Amino acid sequence: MAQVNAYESFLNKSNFYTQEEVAETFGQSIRKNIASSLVIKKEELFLEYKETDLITVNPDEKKQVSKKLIHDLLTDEGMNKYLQTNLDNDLGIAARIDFIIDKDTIVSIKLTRKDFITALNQMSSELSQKELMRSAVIKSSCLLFSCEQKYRNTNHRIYVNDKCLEIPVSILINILSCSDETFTKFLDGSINYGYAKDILAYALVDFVERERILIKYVLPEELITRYKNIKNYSLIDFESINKNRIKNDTNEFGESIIEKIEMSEQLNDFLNAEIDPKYSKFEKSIYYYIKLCEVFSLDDDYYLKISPSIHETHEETENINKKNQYDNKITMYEFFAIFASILADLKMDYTLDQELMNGNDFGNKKITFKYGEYLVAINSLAVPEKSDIINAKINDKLVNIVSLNKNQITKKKFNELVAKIYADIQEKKRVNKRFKDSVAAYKQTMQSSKISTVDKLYILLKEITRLDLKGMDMVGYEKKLFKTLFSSNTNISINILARQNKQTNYLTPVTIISVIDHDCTYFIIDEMSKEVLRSVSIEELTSLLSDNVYYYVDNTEIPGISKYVGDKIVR
Amino acid sequence: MLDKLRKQAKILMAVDNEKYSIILDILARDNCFFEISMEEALSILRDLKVKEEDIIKVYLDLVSKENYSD
Repeated sequence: MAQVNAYESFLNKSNFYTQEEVAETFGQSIRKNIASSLVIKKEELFLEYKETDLITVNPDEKKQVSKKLIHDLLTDEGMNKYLQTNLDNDLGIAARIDFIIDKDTIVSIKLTRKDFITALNQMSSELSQKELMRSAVIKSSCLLFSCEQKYRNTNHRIYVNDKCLEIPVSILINILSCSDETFTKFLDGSINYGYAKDILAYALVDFVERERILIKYVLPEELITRYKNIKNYSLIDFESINKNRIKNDTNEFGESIIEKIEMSEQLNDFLNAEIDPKYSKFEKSIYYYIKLCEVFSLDDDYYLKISPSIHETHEETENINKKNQYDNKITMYEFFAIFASILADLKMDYTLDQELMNGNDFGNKKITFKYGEYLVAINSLAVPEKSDIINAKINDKLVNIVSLNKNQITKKKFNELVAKIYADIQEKKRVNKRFKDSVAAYKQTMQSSKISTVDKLYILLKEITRLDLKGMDMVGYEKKLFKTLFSSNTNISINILARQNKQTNYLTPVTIISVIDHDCTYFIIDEMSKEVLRSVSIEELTSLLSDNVYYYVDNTEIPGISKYVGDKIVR
Repeated sequence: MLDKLRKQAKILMAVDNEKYSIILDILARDNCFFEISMEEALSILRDLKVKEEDIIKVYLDLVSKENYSD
């Protein structure tokens, strides 16, 4: 308040109120509305400032200002000191002249710094010596040079993904003010300032906005245009910086819901069965989204019935973890919880929509995520006529996964990427169908020959012992080879159990092959035994289970063995 | 080995275009021998004129770990 009062003592009291006088005359409540204004007493003077001898200072906004006002701001001591106070305080408005009609009605003339400088430039031939001197001081303080001088040895601090960076302001100002040729070299990477282009763009905009540079200084139009083009992401796409920092995935106890999601093995196998190993993480995320749309269907019960208990069931982690291609009726909450867990595994930043977490399945941006410059949203898939859950099944255009980037090049790149991955998936489907149709056609004409179970077991054993495979490498290949060899044998099944290696305390897999004829014959493949493949009786197998030499790892049963014999390993 | 079989199928298309086109479509897939039964596989190998005494050996090679990819 002391600063405000400093110019008041110089004001012409017959023309202007002080702040105290305004409060006394119109009430204390009006004071905050006129805190940075000059309040005129006489209506005639206000009208003079508003309507006489006008010049245009902003043709786009049709903004005009009175020459008398400019002259008085330069020459009247009180008004000039008021003007200087505003300029020194870095306020956007150089001057505001108010006339109070009543305590609810105030009319104003507002003059920005830019308006004022423009008026000074237009009136330069009409100004007196004193006015020219004051004008020169004011103009120079608003020039880019003054800005450069003020910030010449300072750094601007920004945080990018929680990392603190101190960037010299001189670099930022240089990017803004350099020649077009230099700026082009900066954009194409020929000039390097020691920081990535997108970080410098982010820092520049942050600096200009926080320090209110465009308000405090009057910059040439071409610099303002360049700044606007940087700020709107059209020249450098830095829009994704510091986005999706908050996941919004916690329950009312502050625990992460997504960390508890564990995709079922069947769903995991389905999603990864034919994925191109050369895909980047981002391509994988798009691929998994499309595959989830293929495999899941909207849950009719959920969307046709409205019942709190159904809602609760669908939000239970245990139920979500069971979802797969056979148990595939899904709600949006479940879909996005599974997708978010995929993004978490890919170490990608994402944010879940609060509305979704509160039970609202409809609307836009149910999840947003980012990768590099890409900002992506997936909108609700709950409206059947606009849902990718349907579109992916009928090879129709995908509509719910969208780019949020304002930069048109980034948007185009994203759309092309989605289209490419979608085309890859459709091509694989065509190839698979052609393969299946060909096998079916071949089977019609082939001359089949019976191959004995013993011969097949010989092949299985020979291959496994040849390679000396261990652990899950063995299990994966073994299961695949078993399926190939015994696909036409409906009386043979395979179970994978586990055995504890007491020396290393690790589990090693054990395979049980059951051949069901009049009774059951069993073969064990155990890499820790002297005989890797041997046949066992039902009694011996039962004993191995009940003595906890072997453990179950899942809920499958061995044919002929009681499910109450043996324990499941708890990991 | 798979490439050799594909070449053989192409050559035999001159003899029976329809049959060996179907076999070629099956062989187009890299993991094809893991996706068909042993009986179907041995029948294809016979159709491709693999010698009877070599059939099991060739089949073992085709379903070996080296030819298996996830």
